[in-house]
Amino acid sequence: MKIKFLLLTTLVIASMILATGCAPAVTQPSAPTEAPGATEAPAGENRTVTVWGFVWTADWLDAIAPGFEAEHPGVKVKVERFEYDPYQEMVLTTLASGQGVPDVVTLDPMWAGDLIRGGTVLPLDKATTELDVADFVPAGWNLYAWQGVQYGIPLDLDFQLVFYRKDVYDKAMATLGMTEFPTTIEDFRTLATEVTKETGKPALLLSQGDYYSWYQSFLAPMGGNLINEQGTEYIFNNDKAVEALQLYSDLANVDKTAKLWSTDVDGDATVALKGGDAMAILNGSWYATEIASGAPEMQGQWAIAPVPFGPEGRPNDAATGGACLSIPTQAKEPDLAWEFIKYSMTPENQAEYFRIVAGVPSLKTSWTDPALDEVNDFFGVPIGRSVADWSLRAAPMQLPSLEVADLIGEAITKATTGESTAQEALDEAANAAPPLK
Amino acid sequence: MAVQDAVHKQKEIQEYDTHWYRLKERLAPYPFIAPFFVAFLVFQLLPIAFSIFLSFAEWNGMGAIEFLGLKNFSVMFQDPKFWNALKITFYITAFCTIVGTAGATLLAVLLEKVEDWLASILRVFFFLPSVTSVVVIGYIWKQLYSSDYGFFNTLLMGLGLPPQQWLTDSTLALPALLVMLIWAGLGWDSLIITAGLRSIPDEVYDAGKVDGTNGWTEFWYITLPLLQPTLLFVLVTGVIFLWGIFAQPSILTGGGPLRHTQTIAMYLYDVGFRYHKFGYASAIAMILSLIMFISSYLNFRFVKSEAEY
Amino acid sequence: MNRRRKILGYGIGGFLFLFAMLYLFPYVWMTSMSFKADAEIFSGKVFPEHPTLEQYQRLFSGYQFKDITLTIPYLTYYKNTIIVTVFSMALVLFFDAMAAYGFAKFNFPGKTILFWLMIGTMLLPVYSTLIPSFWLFSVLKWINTYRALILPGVVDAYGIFLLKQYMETIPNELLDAAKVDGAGAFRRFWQIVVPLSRPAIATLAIFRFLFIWNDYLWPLVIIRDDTMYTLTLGIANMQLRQGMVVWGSQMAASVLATLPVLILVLVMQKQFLRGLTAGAFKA
Repeated sequence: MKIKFLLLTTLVIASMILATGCAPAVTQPSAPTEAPGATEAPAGENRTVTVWGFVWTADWLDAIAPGFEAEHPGVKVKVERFEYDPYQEMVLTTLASGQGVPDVVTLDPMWAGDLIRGGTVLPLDKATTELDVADFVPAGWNLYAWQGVQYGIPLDLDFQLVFYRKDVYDKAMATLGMTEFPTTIEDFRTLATEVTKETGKPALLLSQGDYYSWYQSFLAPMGGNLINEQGTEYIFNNDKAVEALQLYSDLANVDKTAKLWSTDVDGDATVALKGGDAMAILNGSWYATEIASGAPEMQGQWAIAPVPFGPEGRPNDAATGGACLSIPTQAKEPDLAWEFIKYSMTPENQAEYFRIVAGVPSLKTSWTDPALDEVNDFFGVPIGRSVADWSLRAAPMQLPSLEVADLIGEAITKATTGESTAQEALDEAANAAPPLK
Repeated sequence: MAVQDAVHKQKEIQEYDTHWYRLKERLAPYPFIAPFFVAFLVFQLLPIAFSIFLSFAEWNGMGAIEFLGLKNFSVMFQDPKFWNALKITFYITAFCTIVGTAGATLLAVLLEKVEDWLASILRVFFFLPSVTSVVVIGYIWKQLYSSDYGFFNTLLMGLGLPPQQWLTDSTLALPALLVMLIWAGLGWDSLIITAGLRSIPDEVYDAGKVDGTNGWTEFWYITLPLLQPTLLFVLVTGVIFLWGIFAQPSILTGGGPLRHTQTIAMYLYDVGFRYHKFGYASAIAMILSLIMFISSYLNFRFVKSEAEY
Repeated sequence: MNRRRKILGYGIGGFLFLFAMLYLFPYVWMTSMSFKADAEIFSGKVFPEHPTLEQYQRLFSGYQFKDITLTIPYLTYYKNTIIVTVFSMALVLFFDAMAAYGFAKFNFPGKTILFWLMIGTMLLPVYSTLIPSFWLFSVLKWINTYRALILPGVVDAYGIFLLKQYMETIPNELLDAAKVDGAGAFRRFWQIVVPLSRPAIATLAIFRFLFIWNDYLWPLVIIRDDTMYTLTLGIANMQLRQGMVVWGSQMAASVLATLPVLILVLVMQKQFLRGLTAGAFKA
């Protein structure tokens, strides 16, 4: 009888071991190869630096990795690639759990703020000494500076542009006697109204509840911001902000020239544009690649222009976002990580970034590459050069916390659906926002 | 032979009186309880203790744990999102338990009147949603409710009525969720009530018939009171389940539009896993646990007192 | 009199049958969507005009989106779910039965406290342990493993409660007789109590199977990459690719995921009802 008991207990324990053992005990996201080598071995011994990126950025990392390995014998670069949507979650939870932390991580401005202020990425003290700050577009560089310290080295400059149907808008402009795309709010509203009149369709797609888009194209150009200069209080409910939100809402509800679009509910915006359901859209410069691949049959029908919302005569003061490379605090190879970042910031490697990712690099010295002057097949103009020039006027975004981004997104939705006035919605968000330290 | 057996037996019986044997018996339960107890300690007790501790602190999962005293709770009581989630969850719980239980009782009673073979087929039909994954149910209903391509709108338009924004209109989203929840729970509840109905002995009905009861009075004065324990069970489990509901609204509406369908469990998840404020999330979890505990206790008390006639 | 009742019975039965047809419409929808080709998905009609296995094929051979092929590791999801469910059930049933036996047939110091503690935590939502459990698993480096999916489910106060109630109805004389015959505690457990508790254990097995097979929240929190997804997570995450028409494959995936459960219910329906009646919930 005792034997039976022992036998059974062994069976249970064995099955437990089996259950635990037959797990691919994967704590890393994608296919596990070797662990990031982590000993204090003298230089020359086999070390690995792990780099994380999403979609095309990862492709670029793959492209430049061999060069780094050639310059540093004995060092291997392990690039891990992610899809865009799960990337945020992956980074946040991995850095929180401390397991499988990469050495170099690509950050997205939507959620980088929490990581920087939470001390999860290292201050890059060698940034000002080993890199030439003057080589970078100020907006890009300052985007990832906080309290005087640099936390990320910017990759591209991502600010909103108007992607519009050239055929439709040109016609409307001719009717109105305009010679170039509007640079003031009034002119734009007139033009948009004309476009809607002529086509019977919305002249512009605006993203519903989208903090990022509204901030870049409306709030920042109108002189508003999230937090005041001293960093002591929220100012996204002041007069300028209310005006910015009111304009946003008016375009949709008063002028009836803009349609509010929500990807979750309405699906892919490109589908709507393809179908002629809208004549323009506000989006980041990266959208150029997406629309070209999503609507190839519309080649030659589209053009881009800087955002016209802002004080008189100052077009495209759209604030800029953009990804960056940072080093997590718990990285195992912080020195190698820095070497890699430095390596990636050469004109050649950044030009490669432009070629693969199609985002204009922050590193001005890379702009001499002829790739930026290449005529883009879809648009018929060298958009790289145009975007680069426009970026010099941009100011850096203030990186919000996810909570604040969500609150402002809700405020936008409330104001545009008429549930509250713009002032009320923003006030509510400001009150609910977590206190600033 | 028989004598030897008897002696042997006697010896054995005597053996059982020894200290060794008694000790063995005394120690016997422990190895049985042990595996459960260890797992219970590690996966329930300690986490709960840590959670209680965290609810008085702030922690983002990576840095230091900062002790805050009662600050989380004071913030919570002023947090409009918290009260909103509480309100929504309360509506869901109240509506679904009452309507759901009533519906399930009706269904169970009706099914009892149907011929056995047909009734068992019907029971399987109604039981299906209870065994389907919430994810599957969520996505099916999400498609059915879709504004542009969903079946309900196609049906409405076919009848010449205007299509509705079932999931994005702030007045329709919650009712849409409620319908789905009741649909999903009907089979399970009615099965339990059926079991309860069957435990009522026939004699009681017969006695009732002698006193001249008809269908309605029979139900009201005999069936219902005797069904109390079952109904209590259904209500209590329903309350516990619904207060903590997460997956269904999360998939159907994501909490929208504008938090009109955000339950307290969803808010907790957001605060913890999206904003990484584990201290505050634990405080919310504590309050939620308290609410569930009190609700089920009240339920229990209320129905019990009704039962004591 | 009897005739009248029978007619009433059939009348009600007929009515309920019609109602059931309406009630099951979502399943009809699910199945018919799974057989529609992409072009027909948004047609608004209920049934496909040209039924196809396209959506099912996608689950196994990948999704063509623009110019890339995205694979949906559906078989992996299935494998993961089966592994987790089987091991979890084996462990839970065993532990529950043992613990229930300990509570039902023995007295020991601390028994009442432990029992009420257990009942108390039964009423607590999983949320109160969610974050600390997540943290615990992260510290142990068990995030994204089978271990993490299986082990927490082992604590099943409800099941112990159920089994304990049932076991208490087993007459003690039976066990005493066995004691006299020289059976040790485990022998009594394994050879008497367990076989006699079979209906309750079977019912519990069904409950646990359903719970684990369909669980969403815990895998959501603990699984980090799609090679470890269970079926529920896999279906949920098919939504995440923008610009893709995934409705069809989601439904196909749902059909396949629900099938085993359906079969189980059909086969075990009598068992279910019996289990529920067997004093399982007497308050």
